[in-house]
Amino acid sequence: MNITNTFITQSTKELRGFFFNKRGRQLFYAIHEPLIKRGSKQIAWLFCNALFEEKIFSHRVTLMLARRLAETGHLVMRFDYEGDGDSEGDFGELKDTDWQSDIEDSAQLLYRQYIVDILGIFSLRAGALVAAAAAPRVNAQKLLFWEPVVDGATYFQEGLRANLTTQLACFKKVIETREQLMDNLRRGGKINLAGHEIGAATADSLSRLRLIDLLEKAQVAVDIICLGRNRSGEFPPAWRNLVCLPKVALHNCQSPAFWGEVRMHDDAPAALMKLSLQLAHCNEPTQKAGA
Amino acid sequence: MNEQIFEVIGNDGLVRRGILSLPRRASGLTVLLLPAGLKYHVGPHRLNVRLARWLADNGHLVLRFDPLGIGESDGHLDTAMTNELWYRICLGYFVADTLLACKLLRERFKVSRLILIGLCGGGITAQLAAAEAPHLIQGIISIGIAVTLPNIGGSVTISSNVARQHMHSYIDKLSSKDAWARIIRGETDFRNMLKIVKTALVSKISRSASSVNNDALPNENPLFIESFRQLQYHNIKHLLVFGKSDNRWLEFNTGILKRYLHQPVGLNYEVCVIQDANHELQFEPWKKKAVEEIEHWLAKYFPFSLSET
Repeated sequence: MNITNTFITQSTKELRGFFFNKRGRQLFYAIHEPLIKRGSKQIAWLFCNALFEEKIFSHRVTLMLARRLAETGHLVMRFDYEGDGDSEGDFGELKDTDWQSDIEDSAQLLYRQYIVDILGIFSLRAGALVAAAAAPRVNAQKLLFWEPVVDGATYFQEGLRANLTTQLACFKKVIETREQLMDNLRRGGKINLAGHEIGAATADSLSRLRLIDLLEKAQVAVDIICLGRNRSGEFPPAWRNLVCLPKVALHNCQSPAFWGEVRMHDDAPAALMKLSLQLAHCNEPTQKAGA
Repeated sequence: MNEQIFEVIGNDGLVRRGILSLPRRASGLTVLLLPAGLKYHVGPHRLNVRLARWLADNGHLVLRFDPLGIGESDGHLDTAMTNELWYRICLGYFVADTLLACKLLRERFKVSRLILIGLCGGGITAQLAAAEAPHLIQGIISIGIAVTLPNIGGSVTISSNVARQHMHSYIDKLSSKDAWARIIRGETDFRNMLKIVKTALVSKISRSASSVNNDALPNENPLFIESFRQLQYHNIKHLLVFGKSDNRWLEFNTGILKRYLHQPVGLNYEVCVIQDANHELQFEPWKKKAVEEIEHWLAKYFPFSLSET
């Protein structure tokens, strides 16, 4: 580990630097260390980013959550996957097992440097698929997800649709259809998802991931926060299936979806921060949806 | 990859952060990459990371920087309409932090020549910073620079020329199945479409009735042309890169280029337009074309000198 910069505030210490993953690539990380310990056990949170452009849009809000958690006594580590954010490499060449391996390497760094009694993983959007897959391998005892993608294949198809929309806006017509884009991918080419070039390995591995399967396998307590739902608390069918699993709890939060272009800028939405902190400080999910 | 965390503490005690990309052999040129609007130092689809590493491979010291309230830096921006924050940025909200980073780079690394690169809001920040402290900065590369101020409150205004361009595009799309499918799926922004149609029609009527100058932008940033002229005056080289499908290009072309500059290459500036490209240069060929243009411009005005650090 190569800690290069440290900054201390009244209640937290922030350290940033780079470390090497198993494949010898430098990954960016930031640790938010509490100066005031809460309770007898050290709870640490590993933050797993959203993927592609949603990571860029959501960066600041997740950083603010990390700061709030550290201010309330939790240890937090954020990192960028290989090929993402400030880390080394090209995202488009990687697959889900590489991202899971990066989660393992980050967790190892935390375990080596700190006494961690309980490890939680926080993630959002498509990052939650990867985090759920990696959770058992890093002995995570709790998961906290914001608006996770429930089906990687649907998410990928939405990315393709956005590609076609951009073509239409820029070329005034679709110059490469969905089928042609997929053919190109199968022939070893790349496809552009919101500005990010990805290859077949990335597309295939993303499309295979389904949250319900991953959580069933993980057998870890999961709190899922759904944003911007109506006040009646109704969840879409794909979400409702998740609560069939024994350790999953769904929570509603009236908060804007900040992982895309937003009309209102708020880097620390109050309701979302409050609910997330409440859930982070509980050992078990607090409320079953529909209970 | 040889990168380091960069931190600078302001007089307010708050830390501004960024990432330094260090070259193996110093070229004598340092580059400060600014965030695109509210997107942090990584840039839209990692454009800033890619540019920084390519520039470092070519011998330049590069800093990707977050002003206060952005990315990894301390502080936070007000909770406000995004347009309002963009408005502040266009009027120089991040200029002081940008100049702080410039000064620190000069002190720490004994920088002799410094250029700033920014997309959209980063472009206007770079231009305003160079106009304010021309002794610190020798060049600017702006990508999709904003020449107008975003609308805050009140009715949304749009230049008549921009509206006319969009009208032509709508007419072209009348025969497109995809466009009709988007309308059926409810993906069309009808409010925006109506606004454009209304502006284009009003403009057509008023043009036939009078000889009013339609090139004037209704919400032109009053600081734009003034700071642009400052750069020309102080011999600060300026490359302006635009995507041809970008509204920013339409605005610049009608409101600035045709109205004030009259030619794409002039005293200390060059304008480069990438065919079909959008605002953030989303597709790969557009990024490659931008890199080619930047490479060519750097070779012309900032040739390798091996004189730094």
